[in-house]
Amino acid sequence: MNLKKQNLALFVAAIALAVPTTLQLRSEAEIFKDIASIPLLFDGFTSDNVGTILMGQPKKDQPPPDPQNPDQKRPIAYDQMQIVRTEKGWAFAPILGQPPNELAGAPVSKDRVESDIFAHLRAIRVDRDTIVQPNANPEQLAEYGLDDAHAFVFKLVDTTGKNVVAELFVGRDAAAGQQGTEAVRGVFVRKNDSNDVILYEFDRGWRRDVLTDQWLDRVLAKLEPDKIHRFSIRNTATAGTTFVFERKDGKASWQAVDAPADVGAVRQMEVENLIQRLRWIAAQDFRKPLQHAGNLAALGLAPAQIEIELTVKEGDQDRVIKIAVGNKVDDKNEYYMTCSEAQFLMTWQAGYVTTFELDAKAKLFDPPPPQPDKPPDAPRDDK
Amino acid sequence: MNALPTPPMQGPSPLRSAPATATGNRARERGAALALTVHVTLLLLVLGQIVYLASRHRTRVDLTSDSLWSTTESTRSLLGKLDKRLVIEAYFSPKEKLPVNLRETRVWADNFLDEMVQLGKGKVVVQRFDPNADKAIADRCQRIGVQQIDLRSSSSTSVSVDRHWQGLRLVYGGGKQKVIPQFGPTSSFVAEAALTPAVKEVTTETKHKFGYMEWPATAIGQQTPGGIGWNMLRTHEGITKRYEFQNLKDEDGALLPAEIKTLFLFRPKDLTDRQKYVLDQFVVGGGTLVVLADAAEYAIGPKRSFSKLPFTIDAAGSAFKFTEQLLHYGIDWKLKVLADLAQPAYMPRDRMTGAYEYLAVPQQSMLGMVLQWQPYPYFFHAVAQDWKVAADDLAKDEHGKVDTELAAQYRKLFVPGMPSDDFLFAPFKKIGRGPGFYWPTWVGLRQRTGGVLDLPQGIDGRVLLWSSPAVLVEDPPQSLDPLGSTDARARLENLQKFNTKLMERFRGEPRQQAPLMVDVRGKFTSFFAGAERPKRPSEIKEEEAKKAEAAAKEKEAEAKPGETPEKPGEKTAEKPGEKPAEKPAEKTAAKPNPDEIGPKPPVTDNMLTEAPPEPAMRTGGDVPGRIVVIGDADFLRDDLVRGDYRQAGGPVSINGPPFFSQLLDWLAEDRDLVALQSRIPEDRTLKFVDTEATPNMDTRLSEQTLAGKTNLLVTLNVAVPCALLALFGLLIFGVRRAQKRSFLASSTQ
Repeated sequence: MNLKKQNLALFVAAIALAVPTTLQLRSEAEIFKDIASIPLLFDGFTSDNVGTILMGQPKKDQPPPDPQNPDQKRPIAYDQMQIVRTEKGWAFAPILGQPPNELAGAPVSKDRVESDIFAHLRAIRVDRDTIVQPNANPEQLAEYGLDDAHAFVFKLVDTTGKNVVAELFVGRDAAAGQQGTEAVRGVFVRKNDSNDVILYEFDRGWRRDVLTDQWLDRVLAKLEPDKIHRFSIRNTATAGTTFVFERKDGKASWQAVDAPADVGAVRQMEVENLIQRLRWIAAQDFRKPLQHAGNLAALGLAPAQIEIELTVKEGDQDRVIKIAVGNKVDDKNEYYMTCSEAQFLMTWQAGYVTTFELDAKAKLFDPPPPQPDKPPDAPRDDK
Repeated sequence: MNALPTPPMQGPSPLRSAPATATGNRARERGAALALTVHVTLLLLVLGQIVYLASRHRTRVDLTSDSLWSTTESTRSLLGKLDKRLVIEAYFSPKEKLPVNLRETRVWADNFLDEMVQLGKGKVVVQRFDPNADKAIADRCQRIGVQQIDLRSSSSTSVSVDRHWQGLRLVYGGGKQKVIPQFGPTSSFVAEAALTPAVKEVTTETKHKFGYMEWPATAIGQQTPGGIGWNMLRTHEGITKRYEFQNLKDEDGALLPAEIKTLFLFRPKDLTDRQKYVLDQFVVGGGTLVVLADAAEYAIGPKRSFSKLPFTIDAAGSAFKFTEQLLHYGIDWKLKVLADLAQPAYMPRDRMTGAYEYLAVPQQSMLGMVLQWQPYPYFFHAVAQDWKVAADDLAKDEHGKVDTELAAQYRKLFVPGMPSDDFLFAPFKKIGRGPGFYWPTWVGLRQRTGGVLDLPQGIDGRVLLWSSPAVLVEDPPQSLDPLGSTDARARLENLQKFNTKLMERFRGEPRQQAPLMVDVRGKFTSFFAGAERPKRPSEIKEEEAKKAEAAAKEKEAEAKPGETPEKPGEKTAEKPGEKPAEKPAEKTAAKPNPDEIGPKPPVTDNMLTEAPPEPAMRTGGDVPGRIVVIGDADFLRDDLVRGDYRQAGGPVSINGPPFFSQLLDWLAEDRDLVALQSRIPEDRTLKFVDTEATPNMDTRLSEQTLAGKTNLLVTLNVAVPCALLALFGLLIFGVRRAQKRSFLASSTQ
């Protein structure tokens, strides 16, 4: 065989071997799994589209089967909670067919919605190679706590209220029955339209409940003290007089507006202390919507025992926050409160309230300066 | 002008064709060079492809007789039984970035993981992650416990730390995980030894439960409150992941819970009748009782005093003996101590590196202080050999003559040291010996005179381990210290004297094998049948209280002779100054104790309801029970397993832990890891002299025989090849000579 023929044969051999070599090289190039390449369970999910979130936890005591028709499948009874997106943020919403929710309209913690719902929905990945149980049958779903009777449900609907953005079933903890290093820190999950059981592991905890007080956003306002430029207070100690303080023209010092004649200069430190106490206004408890609160006078809120008004600079606009404090709640170290930030009858910790029960005239002002017409050599009273 | 006609050009003109030929040659040369270059390039390309593909798709053939480089049945069966998906997450740095020493281990790791995937038939998924490429993965490693390998390298101008990863996480069914923080196998066997038990751990869903009672040994010279127990093996990670132990030693002697199927007794002593009754009801009810028995307790301590400590099997005042109880079930436990004088029985497996297994003495050598093994026949093991072979040696008289009749009798009597084929003994048979026992005791089957088995009806029994026929059976001596001094020379002399004395005594004793481990099973009858059930301590106290109460009543009645006993329904008239007779309970209720402070606790329903009565005695079993007795408890004791006396020269129980692990599998009938644990290369070294089989053989003689045989072999090794070569040379010489002759003969013709 001459060189030409040999080359031809070698060329053919090289081409033939190139196929498995390329395949092998490609498989080796993909030897390490890139987590980012694992598809997301809710691909394209973004919290911006979500208008309503419904959470449901199956009740421990399910209604008994109909004795007339015992074979009929009974719908699962859930403890539910629904939250909706409002202009001010997330708020509780009433659920159709459920008893009225006293807290409907109350603000929901944005941080918790983010950390306990959206963050997880964005993080769950489904690796076809490691699905715990592909296409599980009802018994297997029950084993993983992912059947209707046991699974915790998250249902997220878009802002139009027509399209389901994501619906997730969360089953039992993967670590159930295990301890120490044996335990896998995660839960079994599945999509509503799939019976594939997925193990979802997470670094931090995942609180899944429908207890409204756990989701409630008790923080009515978080203020930057230097942005507050007007503050007024009226309480029983001021005998109905409203004391108003202002910081004019961007100055740091407070000035009294229409100060009584028999007081001296404003005690800057005292006023500043009050302002500092108001930088984080958080209710202790949300009782009921104001329209269902009944006779506010009985609660000491009409007229209020203490009235506080703050004007805060937010951008180019002023935001006015009004707080009214009423009587002390029976058997609790709290006071009834209303606030312009939430149309609810609330309570406020006594520790905050007592700060504002002060005699403004005496505490927030210096004594009046001595009379200038008195001769300097006049005999003193104590002499 | 003469115009000569120019002949037409016929063919190329030499003047014109010369440059054309040169150009053609060059072109041809260039073409040839190009063809050659292409040829070489293609050849290299094809060879490169072949080498690359061959390196990725290699075939291995395991030619070792023990299949050392193949996966065992354990791995295959475990992976074959998977009913859920086993995900193996390999947190590996890229191989090309690994240092050379780690790169080799990676090859083994990758190969074994690939093999697992193939064996798993779709149930095993291996995913490789590079923690150095993604911080999220590195964080996950930290969270789950995979450890990085930081390698520091430095030069004259810089110091750097290279971080590498080679850890594994096994997740089975999404619910259970096992993390191997660093995985660096140096062979496929090491990879299998690490990974297969890990697979077993994650796939074990329910742990087998064992109950136990233990009576700790006295800790001499050690800060061990409560004595030395058997906790170390029970709490070993490899065991706790698969088995659960529950302490059932109850002071009040409650009957054992029904869920306990196997109960361990770690060196029972001071057993009360009630405890014996509890054990009786357990085995009669179908439980498996495993007794690790010692006939005596010898102190070891840092000074290895080997002196006897007070030790009794039965508690003071007990009416029943535990040995009789075992005898009732078919087990003959003689409270004797055994010494095996056959050298293979008392010699450690590795005299050089494991001399401390039994008894070694630190001695000065050229290499400094080294531990040298010394014969001490009270520490020995069962030998996996048929002792019939030693019949002739043991039947020799003083002059070395074999008593054929006696030898024939011995051949009938003697049995193999490890006669059982149970998987418990498989790995030990491979190494030719059982676990080392320390001052073991005789535990055999019940026999009539004449050595005829006398097991109870319906009970089967077998001895699982035997000593050699050169065993000495004796009552536990007060001291078994063979050294007795701190002076090195005196110690060796003492040791020699000690062993000589033993040998002298042995000569006068009959040749017999002592049973070391026994297993009986069947439907046991109660040892306490026909007798009164031993009462619980609380019951006894209650009865005593009742008796005292009755006596007090009687005394009180005697103290008031004028009083007539009260008729039912009739109220006794109270005399002024006299108190009415009260029941003790009423008394205590009426007269508050001045020491009591505060209000009395409310009387609850639980306090009023009495404990349920104990079930009636089971006199016969409906379900077969089982009793396994091992004639030693020390070999699993914490101090021996932990190697507390290693520095002093032993004893250290080297084979105790694997035996215990196998024992648990054997009791639980879990064979999954048997093949892996049994994968021990057989000792294939040439044995020129079988001195170990004959206990009386003079060591000098054996040395001479060994030297003679070795010399013979060396001579043969040199002489035979030389002779063969010479023969070959002669053959060649002869053939050539014949050829030459025939050639010369043909040329002269």
